[in-house]
Amino acid sequence: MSSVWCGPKMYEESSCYDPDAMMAEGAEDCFPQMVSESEAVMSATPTQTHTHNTFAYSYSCGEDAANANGPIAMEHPQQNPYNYSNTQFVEELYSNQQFTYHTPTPDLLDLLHLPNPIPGDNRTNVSSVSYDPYLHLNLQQQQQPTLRELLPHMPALRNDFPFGGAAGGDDIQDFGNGLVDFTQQEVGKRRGGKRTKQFTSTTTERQRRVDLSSKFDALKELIPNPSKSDRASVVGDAINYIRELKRTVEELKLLVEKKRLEKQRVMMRHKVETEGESSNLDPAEYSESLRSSWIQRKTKDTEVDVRIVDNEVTIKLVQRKKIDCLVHVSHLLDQLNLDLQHVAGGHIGDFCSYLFNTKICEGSSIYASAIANKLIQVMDTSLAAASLA
Amino acid sequence: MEYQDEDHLCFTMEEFALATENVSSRQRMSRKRNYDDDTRVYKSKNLEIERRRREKLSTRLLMLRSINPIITNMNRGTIIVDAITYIEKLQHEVQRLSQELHQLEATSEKTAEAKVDEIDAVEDMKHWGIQAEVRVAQIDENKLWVKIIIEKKRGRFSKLMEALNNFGIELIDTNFTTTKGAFLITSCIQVKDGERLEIHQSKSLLQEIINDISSKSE
Repeated sequence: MSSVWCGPKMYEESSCYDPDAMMAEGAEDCFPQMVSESEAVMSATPTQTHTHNTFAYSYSCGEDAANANGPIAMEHPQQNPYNYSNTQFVEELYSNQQFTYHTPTPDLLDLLHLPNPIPGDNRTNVSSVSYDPYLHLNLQQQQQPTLRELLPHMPALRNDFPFGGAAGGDDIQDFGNGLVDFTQQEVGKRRGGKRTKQFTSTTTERQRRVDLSSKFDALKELIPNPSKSDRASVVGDAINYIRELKRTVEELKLLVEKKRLEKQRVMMRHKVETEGESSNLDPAEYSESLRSSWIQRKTKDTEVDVRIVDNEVTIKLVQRKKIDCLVHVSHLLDQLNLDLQHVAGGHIGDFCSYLFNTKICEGSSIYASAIANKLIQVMDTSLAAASLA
Repeated sequence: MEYQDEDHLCFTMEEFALATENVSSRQRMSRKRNYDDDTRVYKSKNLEIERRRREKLSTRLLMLRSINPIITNMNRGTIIVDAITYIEKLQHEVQRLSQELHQLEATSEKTAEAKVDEIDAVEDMKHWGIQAEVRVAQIDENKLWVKIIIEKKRGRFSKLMEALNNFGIELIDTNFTTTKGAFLITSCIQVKDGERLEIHQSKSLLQEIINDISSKSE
């Protein structure tokens, strides 16, 4: 790191040394730098403030033009070696730091090419020689924003600051400090990341097991009559319950649709009666899909299997305790508006087993899960009463 | 759908059974050889059982995933959470539809069907010459066979059952049929306490019950 940053400084010293070797006078050492700076200022003169500066320069130019005529001829040989040294400096920076900034290079070349074809600019450069210290400070202050505007890449800006001398050194140090800070932050983030990963990985494994177990428990609570408590049985019961719920939803949708159509017919009849006109209903409304559904319920002592086809209901009931099923079931069927058609069954050992065939009365909208739920409820209630007695 | 799934499950179980038999036979052969060579190869007894258990659970989880339209991810925790969400959604749907059905039912008018059925039943009995009757026969010391024919009306069967229950009579084998406007009930009855039943006494009791029910319903 330090060796890399020493490179441009050493090159800067060498660049200062070459003009000394060529020219013995000290004033001429500052001349090439001032030329480049003045060109930069003149190139960025669209704003009004810059126009005022140029006006001041032209006024001073008028005064100095009469005094010094000899140095004008010496400008050309002095500019050429400076340009050569500048290009070497840029190439060396590129090779040392390995930065890829192709964009600013043509801008720099354009800036350097400007003084050659126009002789008027040369005169202004000559006039600026007499005011070296004051103009140097002003140009330095103006140079920074203009260069930043011209060159959007930050490394390119910092590379150009060595032309200013001490200011360039400060910028280089700032850049170095920024790099060091960045590396420190990066190292901290990496370590923090590793620590958090290790910590969360150990905790996540235990937490994952606890979460999975709680999810299985929640699923078990949703199922009405779980058979076993192991996970495979819980999942199997969940599958069966989902299928049952899907069938129930389909059945209820069908019943709701049928009820709405029936309501519409009743309204149509009333209209016909009031108006005294005869009208035929759409035949499509009468062609309804055949209803079919089934459901199974099982508790500790009772098993119920309900199957519905159109308006006929088949109920299979198995009771593990010896109680009077027929009394309770027949009452329930009367309440549910189911017309009893056939009953077969009896006592087999300690079991009661019955098969009921019933018909749904017209206008009733009973559905399979309601029948099954109420049967289970009645059986459990009678069982409780029998056990108390 | 359901039966196909059951067949599939049966097929899978058969495969498992065959695999188990093969594995057990191999173990026996290998053990004999090992004993002859005076060397032992340890194999865990629970290996196959655990493998089967895991495969069973994973198969069912995949099935659960397949019937659930809510899919957010494929890991086990998410399968369970999605199943819970879907079950709750379906339960809400069932509640909503049943409430809607009850509302529609409440607003609609009731039809006078019972009267029509009753009138038809009376006419049918007259047409076919069916008359109400009670027959009783002795089967065993404590058991009687009963045949009852009564007019078809809603609620009569439940009333008859209730009356018999009140008198402590238990129906062992029952067959109830509705045909041509009449109820035909054949049953084997006995007393709960095991008392002896007499034919004439039972017959008169049954006739009295039936007459009482008929008079009440009229």
